[in-house]
Amino acid sequence: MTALIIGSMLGSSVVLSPGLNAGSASWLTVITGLAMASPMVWIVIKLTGDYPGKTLVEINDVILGPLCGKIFSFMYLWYFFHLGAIVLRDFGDFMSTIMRVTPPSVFLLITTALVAYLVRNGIEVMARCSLIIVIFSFLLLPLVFILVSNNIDLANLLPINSIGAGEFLKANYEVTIFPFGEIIVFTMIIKSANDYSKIKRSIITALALTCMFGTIFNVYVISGLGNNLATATYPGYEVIRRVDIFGIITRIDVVGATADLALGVLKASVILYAVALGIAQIFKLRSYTSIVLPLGTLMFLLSLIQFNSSIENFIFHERTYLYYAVLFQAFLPALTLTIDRIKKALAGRTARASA
Amino acid sequence: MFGFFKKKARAMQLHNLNAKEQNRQNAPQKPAGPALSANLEENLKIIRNTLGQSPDIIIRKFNFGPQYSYNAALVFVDGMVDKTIINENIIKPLMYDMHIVTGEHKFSLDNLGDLRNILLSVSDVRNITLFDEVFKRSLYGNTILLLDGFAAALDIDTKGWQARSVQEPSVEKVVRGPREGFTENMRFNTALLRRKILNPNMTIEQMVIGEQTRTNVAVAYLKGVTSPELVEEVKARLSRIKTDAILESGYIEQFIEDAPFSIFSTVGNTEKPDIAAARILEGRAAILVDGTPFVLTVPMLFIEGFQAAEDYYSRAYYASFVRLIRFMAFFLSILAPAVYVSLLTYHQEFIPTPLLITMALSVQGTPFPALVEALLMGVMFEILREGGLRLPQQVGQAVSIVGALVIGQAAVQAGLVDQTMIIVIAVTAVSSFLVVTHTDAATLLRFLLVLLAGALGAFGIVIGLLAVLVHLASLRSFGFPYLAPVAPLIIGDLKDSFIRAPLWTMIKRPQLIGNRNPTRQGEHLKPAPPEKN
Repeated sequence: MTALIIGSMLGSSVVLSPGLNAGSASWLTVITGLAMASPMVWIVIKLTGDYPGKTLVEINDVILGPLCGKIFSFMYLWYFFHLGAIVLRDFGDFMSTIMRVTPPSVFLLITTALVAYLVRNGIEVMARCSLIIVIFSFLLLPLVFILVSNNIDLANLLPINSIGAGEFLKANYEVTIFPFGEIIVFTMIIKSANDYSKIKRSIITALALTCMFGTIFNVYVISGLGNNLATATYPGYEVIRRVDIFGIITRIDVVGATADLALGVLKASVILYAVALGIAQIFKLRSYTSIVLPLGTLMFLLSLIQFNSSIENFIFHERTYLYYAVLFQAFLPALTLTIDRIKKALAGRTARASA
Repeated sequence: MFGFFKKKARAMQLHNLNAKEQNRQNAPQKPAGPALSANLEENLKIIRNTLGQSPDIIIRKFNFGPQYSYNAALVFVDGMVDKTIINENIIKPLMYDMHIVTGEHKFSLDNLGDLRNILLSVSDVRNITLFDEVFKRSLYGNTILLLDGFAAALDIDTKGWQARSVQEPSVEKVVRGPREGFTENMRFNTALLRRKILNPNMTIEQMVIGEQTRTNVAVAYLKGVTSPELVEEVKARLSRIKTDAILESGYIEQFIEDAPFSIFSTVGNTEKPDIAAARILEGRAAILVDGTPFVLTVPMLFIEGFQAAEDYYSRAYYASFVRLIRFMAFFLSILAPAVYVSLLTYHQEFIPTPLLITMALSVQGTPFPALVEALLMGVMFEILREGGLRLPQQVGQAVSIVGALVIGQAAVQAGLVDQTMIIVIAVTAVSSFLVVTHTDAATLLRFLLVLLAGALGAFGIVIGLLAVLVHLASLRSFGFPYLAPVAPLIIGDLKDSFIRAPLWTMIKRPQLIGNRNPTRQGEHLKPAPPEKN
């Protein structure tokens, strides 16, 4: 479970390296971003902890009633679905910067097929795969460090206050929304955990490890790239690309890309699983497996048609997504939790009154 | 109150149903076929009609007893029996020693038991009454003694056919460790297993599978260590098999495996008693099949392919090193050609410049793209391997020499393939033999990945590997996750995975399989010099 969360958190964040807009202070943003995201995490833990064994869709039904709950659930599912398409697209774009001639749709299609295959195998298989993939990516971290150590200049980490507080907060906010806010997807999955009592611990461990990984990685990137940071499209990729050890080990970007790809598949599969399970529960299907392929196809098509180019993707991410996602990541869950608490308080009062 | 009685009544109903069900299941196992009659001639006629006029079926009629008044006949299959037993321990006592016995006692042939108890000096003799048993036992190397006037016969154990003796197995060779291997004779095999585990809990249960071949199949396990559910599951899967022939344990394997469409095997096999015993001691069950030296062990985990018996016989450091080498070789054998193809086709920048120049020179003269070369050489190698395996040894050598020359020299000189490709294929070939268990799967994967690499470069390879990972993670062998102890992660069991920790640290059995009796040995077994005062 821990690994599953780490995997999907790291997934696209390694490729897109969030929070790097903060210039030389960027390595701080992951930590502070997590701090900003902690209320969202708290909401997720509370919601799922109060209704053990239930997914977000079922919780919505209980708290908001069947009709209103369904409307909320649909909104969430739309967001998850869109998120999945964005994740797929990110990876399609990323791959096509490496393989320039092949059209991105090829990568998208094959990745989607793999994701659908993984989801059809069920949550248990997803967890096992994520474990292996996450262990390998964590092993890769020291390896990358050894390789990039040649290019690292720790002076690049200073000065911390190169940008104003406003900009720093904005960069923080980015990290909060992406990737940490996406923890909301796990409200669909937490109920499958073996040991419910350990959920809180594993979420916190996962987030802490993700934060550690992200910070270390950002330190590599900033100290490795220095002033070139602003010009790189995929900074994490760029820093690995610049590795050059005596002209023998050069341009090992492919290795880094493969690790990213594995994490991305993991993240997309978690999201697709959440959507498929949610729809199956809303329409009371016996099993979610039958709708995985159709949903996967739709996700593939959406990811293909939503942007004309990767630049458009970036602009959408910066200008729209950050404010669009917060609705689903923070406002709706907070609203649900508040209604739940008010209802419980009222129920408690009436119970006391009648007694 | 009433609820309680209702429940009771329901339970009793269920109980009766169960009993009926059991009766129904037991019934066909005891076919009440035609019984022997008291008339010898009639019995012999039926036997002749059923077994036919085959020259190897021998019916020996003779008379014995006072005034040679008893008519008797022996039925056996020539070649399956040990004739000295028949001559010395059956015919001789009946014909000659009978006089001694009748002289001392008042001997009367009231029942066959007297014959068995006093005269026949053979270890295993049983009374039988059915024709079915006559056929079954005589065809399995026993001798049937029929006596005129009795509606029963004696089934005398005279098995003694020619069998290969216990030899060193050809597949799993060892430098250090026992050299004996299983043989085609199941009795030898069970004895070899028993000699490894001299424990009364070592249990062997036998059944017959195959409508036509009636092959003996045995399930061996250690009571108290193997989980009873596993044993039940194995027996249930075995008893489900309704086929006409079991000629090798591979038949059984394909009927009981969990993932029949997977390219990975989920049933282990071994030719060595020490390996089978070690697996049984970890909580697995072994399936022995008459007529083959390959013993199946279930459940099988992916990691088993990388474990060899010698890892445990030699010291931990080198054993761990060899383990790691095996893992490396496995990945090399599935990845090397694919990576080479993708490097040459898509990611030239990855190659160090001096090497790139050399490679470019060697590729320059060759007409085909790297993908075609890799496929060509890969197929060529598989052909040579298959040829070398199946042909008689002398011809096989010739084939390999020709193959090596053709592939190694001529193909390069003729400008068909570049030299680096030859090296890559050679490395692949050698490393594919390190992990014998997964060689089949590795070969298929290699071709698949080469195709993916040719089409999509590194992306294709990663997608292929991820798909394999997902598939492996979804596999189960008799309910146990195939990728354990890595996924699901079992920290304690990692001592015997990528490395092999010292034996005294392996206190527990593998957690999932050996759950029934988790502790293997005492704690404080770390050897140390005697304390000095």
